[in-house]
Amino acid sequence: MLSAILNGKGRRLPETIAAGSSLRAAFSKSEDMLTASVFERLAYLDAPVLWKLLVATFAPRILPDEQRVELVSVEFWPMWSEASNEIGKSVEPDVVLRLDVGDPARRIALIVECKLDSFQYPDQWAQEWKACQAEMASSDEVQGTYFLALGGFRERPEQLVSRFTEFIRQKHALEIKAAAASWSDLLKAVSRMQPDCQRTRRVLADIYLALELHGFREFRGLNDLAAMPQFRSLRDLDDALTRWKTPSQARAVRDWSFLDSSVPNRPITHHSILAKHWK
Amino acid sequence: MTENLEMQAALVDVRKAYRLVWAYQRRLFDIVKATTDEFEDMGFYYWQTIHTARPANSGSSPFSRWAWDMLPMRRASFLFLNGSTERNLARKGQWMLELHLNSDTGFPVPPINSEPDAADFTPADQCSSELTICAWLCAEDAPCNWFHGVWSVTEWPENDNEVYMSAKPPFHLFRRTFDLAGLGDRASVHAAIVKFKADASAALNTTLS
Repeated sequence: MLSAILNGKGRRLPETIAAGSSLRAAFSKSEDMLTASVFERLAYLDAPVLWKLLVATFAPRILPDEQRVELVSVEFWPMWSEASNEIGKSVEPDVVLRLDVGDPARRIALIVECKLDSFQYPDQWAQEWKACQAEMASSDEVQGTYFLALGGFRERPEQLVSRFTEFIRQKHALEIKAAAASWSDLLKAVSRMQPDCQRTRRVLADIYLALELHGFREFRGLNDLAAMPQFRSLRDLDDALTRWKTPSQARAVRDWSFLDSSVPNRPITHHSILAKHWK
Repeated sequence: MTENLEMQAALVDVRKAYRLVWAYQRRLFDIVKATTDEFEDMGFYYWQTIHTARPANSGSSPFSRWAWDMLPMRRASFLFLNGSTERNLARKGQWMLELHLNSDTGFPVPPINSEPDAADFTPADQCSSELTICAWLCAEDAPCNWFHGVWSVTEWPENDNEVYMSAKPPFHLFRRTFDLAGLGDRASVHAAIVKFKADASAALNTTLS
């Protein structure tokens, strides 16, 4: 959120947000707030964890499986103008990450284009790719570029990437290295990480909550329960319960001890109220 | 020896039962979240166990309490409010969403201070597991807390699909109960909530969004 505000996003509420709405409502509909919330926190992760998460999230698997990774910089909404003559305008990718990966280290740039309630489109990918090449040409340190599309499509990521890269090859004569993921893919990847480090767990939990706030949720249906064979062989528990029936004398003692308590640890009022509620 | 084997088998069942309950609760969380997602800006407000207390605080002995207290999702209500709703002031037209989970209808309404014994319950296969959705619509401005001044002191509608009107606090309620067996996947949850939203809106003469 901080990066979104610092970069001039969210200057005014969208027209779809009614006056008097909560910040939560405004926040949860904003692509920029989601982008900032997620990538600010991704940048807090140790670089190898961040890299592992990105590798697990995006398809096809174009990011190399490297152990040695350093995060060099994260830029939110940089304005790229070096190629504006060719493109006809400046372009503004959502996030640009620069990382040193491998041994010996190779500097790479990740261009991230995020969509929440709109669709990815290939001309934007091509423009950002061209702009990136022009920007990076002024410094020779970046040796590889990858384009990552997050959200804004309904097909499988591999299909989207195949379709878009072919379109860009034909129309713009560009070969781009791209991968894509839905926000739900990111959510799944986050939930499957099993870090030992407490700090990492906290950051990942925050990312998960940010995604949930924007409506991306995992859903395990009750239907699954019926398909879990390990639970199907429960014996007749009613019989077992009869055998284990609490002796009434023990119950009486327990009830008495509760009533005798000088500080009731049971909210008696709740019982009387709720017994009235729930017949 | 035989008794020992039987005990071992019983404890295997206990372990399985705990695992099953975990899997069930994990899915219930998802159902609750998917349900609130169907409404605009609906955030968690309060939760309350029904007929039992919440598990004891860390510094309180649980041993003089009911064992049921350690199973809070046996029956509980979860309340949600729109993000712009003030907690201590109910305004006309604002509403509260209640999701009431009753995991076992075989659990009887207990006489005060007498812990129900599961051995006395109606056999489990003759009972059901239910989720009731209730809309609490404020009919007139009222300076009361939504939990203590509204939810805790207001009778529930006796029946599903009927509007219950409370004069004090001034609220109109509409509820519907779903058998959890019919809410097995996201599509069925979505369909149930869409229908509830439409029917409750019509019954309460408002638009629940």
